[in-house]
Amino acid sequence: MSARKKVLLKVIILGDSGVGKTSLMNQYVNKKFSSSYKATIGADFLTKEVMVDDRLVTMQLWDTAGQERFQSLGVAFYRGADCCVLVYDVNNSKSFDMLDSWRDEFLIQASPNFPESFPFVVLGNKIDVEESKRQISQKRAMAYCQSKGNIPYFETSAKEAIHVEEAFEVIARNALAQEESEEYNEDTWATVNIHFDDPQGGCAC
Amino acid sequence: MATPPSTSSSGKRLSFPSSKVSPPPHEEHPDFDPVLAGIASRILFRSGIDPISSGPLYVISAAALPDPKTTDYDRLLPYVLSCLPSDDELADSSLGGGTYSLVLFAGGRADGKTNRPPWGWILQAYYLLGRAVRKKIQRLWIVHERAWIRIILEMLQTVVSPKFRRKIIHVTDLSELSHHINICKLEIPLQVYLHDRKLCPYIQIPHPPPPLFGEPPFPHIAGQRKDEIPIVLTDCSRYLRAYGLRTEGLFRVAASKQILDIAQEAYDRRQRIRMNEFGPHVAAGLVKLYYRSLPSPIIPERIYEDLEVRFDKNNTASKEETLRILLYNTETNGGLPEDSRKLLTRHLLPLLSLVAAHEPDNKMTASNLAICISASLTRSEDIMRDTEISRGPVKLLIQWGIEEFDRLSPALPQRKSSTGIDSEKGGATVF
Repeated sequence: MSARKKVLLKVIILGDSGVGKTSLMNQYVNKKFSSSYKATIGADFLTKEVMVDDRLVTMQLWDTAGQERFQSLGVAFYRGADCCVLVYDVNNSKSFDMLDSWRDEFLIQASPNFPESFPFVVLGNKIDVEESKRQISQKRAMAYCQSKGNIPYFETSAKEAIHVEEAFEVIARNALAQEESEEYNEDTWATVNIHFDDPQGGCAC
Repeated sequence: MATPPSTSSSGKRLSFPSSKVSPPPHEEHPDFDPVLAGIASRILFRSGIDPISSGPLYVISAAALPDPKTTDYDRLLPYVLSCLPSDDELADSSLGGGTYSLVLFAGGRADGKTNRPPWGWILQAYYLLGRAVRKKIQRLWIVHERAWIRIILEMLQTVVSPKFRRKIIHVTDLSELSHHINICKLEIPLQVYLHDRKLCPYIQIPHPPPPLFGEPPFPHIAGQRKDEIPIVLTDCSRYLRAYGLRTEGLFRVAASKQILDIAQEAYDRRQRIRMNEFGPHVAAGLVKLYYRSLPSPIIPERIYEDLEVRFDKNNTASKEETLRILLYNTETNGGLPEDSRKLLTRHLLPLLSLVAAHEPDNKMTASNLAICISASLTRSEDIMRDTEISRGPVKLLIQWGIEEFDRLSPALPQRKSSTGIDSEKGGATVF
């Protein structure tokens, strides 16, 4: 355990069609925004290498089609996920109402060891749209996130790159913490103890 | 027209001064108010058949009552009353001996509020009904009763004859109502469904038919194979063609799950819905859901490999050739299964090509539509394999089908010659 192995973090992005899942990912990974109205086929992923504190990690961001058919993508798809990002459109209350069923679906399919502590992040996207069109207030979204075990919440605009970087930083950090806790659970106590006793804080690489 | 209330039978009942009801202005009269007429037609309308007398059945929907602060109830009254049969009509009616029944949906709007009309207005409405109209009511079913309705009934006790009170039947929800009347023939407003769902998650009717969703599309009935496109598909197409084509993200944006469930269950009971209250995304959602729940998917697993070959980059066959084989040949000659071909050529492709023709408004190109619908056309045990097939060959099949539909459609045997077909794609024989 002392030698750092390369960390791959699997992040799944879920939410209704048209809320901006692909755009958020594209903004984060490619720093680009396209206003073309293009639906996503099935599921696909982009990768990005980032530094979390002093560690280099590879994020594998799984973009999914919001089509109803993909609400049950299957165990194979969700397996090994380290963080689940739930996206809604702040100007579309229905997409907000659906967060719960996306979250439930994820928990059923991925069946993480500790569902209560599995990291979710909620993104309220399209905040660049004029205020009068807004349907879900920040207060309401935050109340929801609090009620679900303090899920981190960000209001984003993939179009204008608002809070996208910050949100994914938290996503990466929480995914890494999850990945490490899974290792912790899988390892024997002995190894873990050695790991914890390392005065260098585990940074022997 | 109104007759003063009878005071002869019971001295205890209050006597009200006779008031005159003037009918609402004629539709072409400058005083005619189309807004009030519209509100009135949602409050009170004729629907279904009275099981007691076989006469007409009328529905009153409390959820449609407007806010008394913004709507002048005195002006509204004649419009509402004109929705009921007049004394003369009833006297003259051959149906059911001039009798009728009422269903009152007392439940409120989805936001929990109900606009209660002023008390005096209710009494006035009762008197203005006319004696014959009141007497000829066979039954009044009150569904989703609320406190204010009970108060009215208590109040009316002093003015309503005991005979009338005996005609009133209280039922808690739509399931219970279905034991009194055939609710499947009743036009039920969406608000009423939403209210009912809060009380009971599922409407249980006596002797439900087999569900429409998940049934074979062209079942054999009495030895004959049904050839018509299933009614839910034609209803959705008709509505979308008339009102939905300019809706942004049509077929991409998901409908509200709850409202989609209500619509699906209605069709499973063989009950039509007021599509305009449900909206274009629900109509498109129903179409996708119907295809997704077919007992045998449009693209069955056994032809996955064949499709991969046909849509391989190295395949030299032209788009049109490939489409013709798949959409018009029998399965033994390389075509899709018969039901799939029928549904695609007579329903899905004509509808989607019309949606794609409005792309500047709805942003749905042929490719976008194909992506959104193709996921609903495959369904095997292996969802990863389905995804692979639907994003590849099936997406292309649908996209080309949308793009080429005009060129292909004359080959349709069901399609009439160009005369008599409107200028829009689709014509009279496809839905």
